[in-house]
Amino acid sequence: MAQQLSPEEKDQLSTKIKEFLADECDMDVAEITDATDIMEDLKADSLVFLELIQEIQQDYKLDIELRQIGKYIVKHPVKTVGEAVETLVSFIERGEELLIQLNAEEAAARGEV
Amino acid sequence: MNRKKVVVTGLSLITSVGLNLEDSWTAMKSGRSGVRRGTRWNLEETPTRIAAELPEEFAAVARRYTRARFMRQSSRTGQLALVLAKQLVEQYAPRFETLNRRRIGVIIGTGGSSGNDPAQSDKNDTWGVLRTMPNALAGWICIEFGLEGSSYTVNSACASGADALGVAHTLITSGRLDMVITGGCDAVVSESAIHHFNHLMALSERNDAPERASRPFDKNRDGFVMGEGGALVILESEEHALARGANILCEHAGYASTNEATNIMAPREGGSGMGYTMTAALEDAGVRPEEVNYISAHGTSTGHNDRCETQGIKLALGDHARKVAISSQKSMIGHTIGAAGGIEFVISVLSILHNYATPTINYETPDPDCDLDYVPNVGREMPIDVVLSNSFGFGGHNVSHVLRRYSR
Repeated sequence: MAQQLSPEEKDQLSTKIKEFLADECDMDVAEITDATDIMEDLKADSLVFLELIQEIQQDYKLDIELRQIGKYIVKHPVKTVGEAVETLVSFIERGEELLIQLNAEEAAARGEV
Repeated sequence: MNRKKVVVTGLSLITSVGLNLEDSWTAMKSGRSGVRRGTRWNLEETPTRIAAELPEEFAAVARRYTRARFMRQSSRTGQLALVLAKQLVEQYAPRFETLNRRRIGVIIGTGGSSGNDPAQSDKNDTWGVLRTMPNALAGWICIEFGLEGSSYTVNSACASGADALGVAHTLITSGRLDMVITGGCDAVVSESAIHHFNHLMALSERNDAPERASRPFDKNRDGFVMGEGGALVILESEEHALARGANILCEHAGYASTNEATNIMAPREGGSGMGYTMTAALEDAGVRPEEVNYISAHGTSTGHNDRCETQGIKLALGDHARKVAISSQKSMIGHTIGAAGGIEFVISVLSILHNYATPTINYETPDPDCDLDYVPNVGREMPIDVVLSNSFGFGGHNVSHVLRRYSR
């Protein structure tokens, strides 16, 4: 179900994401900013974003299959912590719309459009 | 082709008797056993209820050296490999940032313990692939230190660690690499592994006296005790070591790797396959049999191995076999499968550095088939300049290494 996040909720989500990444990557949370590169600076791997989604899925009632989000991320890579926050906000607010976009992109790639 | 001389410039070791090089060596010098009642499986399910598991503190040590995320993504064997690599670099400080990292490789032997990881049976586990792929051992070490040379794992059952060292040796003598982090790691102890080896009648069932169960070359030996552990070394060409001012611990003079081509489990009676391997290693090293002071035996505590290895030593060394000191560290730390060759290589280096032969503990009743000097029960101070280190594995894999006191 789509929902709109208030600025305060977005800040909370951003903080939660930074705390999660700090914990996962043994970093001081104060060192993590929106500009922090997840792979380069945190030495994380490409699946950390999906784990992040698992972490927040219940809190934000995000009812989208993880594999679908994974496919979206493959096509729309997330590089920085700020981009991770933006992408998650997008999924929480308009996840179904993003999946329709993804399906259209896949259809186009298969030459079906 | 000009063959490069290979030297050892770093060691790390983790066993059931110590979570670092110094503790393990001190314990083995004094003949302390790491065999205890098992904790990693349901003991009621198996005839064997003992093992030489790593001390409980290993988890805390691993966490101290690695990240939480890595701990979830790796097998126990993978954790062992990375901790060993970090201890190695911490102690010997090779300063990779000043070296050509594309000429530094990582070759690790393992007997397949990653396949025993519980994650393998959990289809929903995100990290199942990473935890169970055996090559991850080499991969994690390369990632940690930014090493870009050849990297993979080697499997030849209980000779895996020894074969990894041999591959590394060849990569250096041939000039393909300047330096290799190599050795063996295995954490095989699990209910399925104990079951499987029990089916083969390979394990000791001396459950009432765990510390006395592993008794290589003793007449009343009844099989090996499974152990966990690992060891890594830095091998490099002599010229590379000298150029960077490294402290050279000893020379890795040569090795041989062969196959018995006879039986998937048992060595060839008479020890000819094992003996030939030792002879080939000595020839590769340019060492005469009478120069060997000490043999770190494969010495598993099984009836077949210890008898055939004794026969093989006699074939390789002739009359000198009765003058050489031979011991089996497996009497103390059990059989660590793919790690054993790495661990025994490290002990061989330490034997040269300290002029000390570790004991074969639990040697009580002489076996007429095993009638050589096995350094029974008490370690021995003695001059050691040349060591032969043996490893043999299911599948007929035989490997012998020759180590020699370093001189320019």
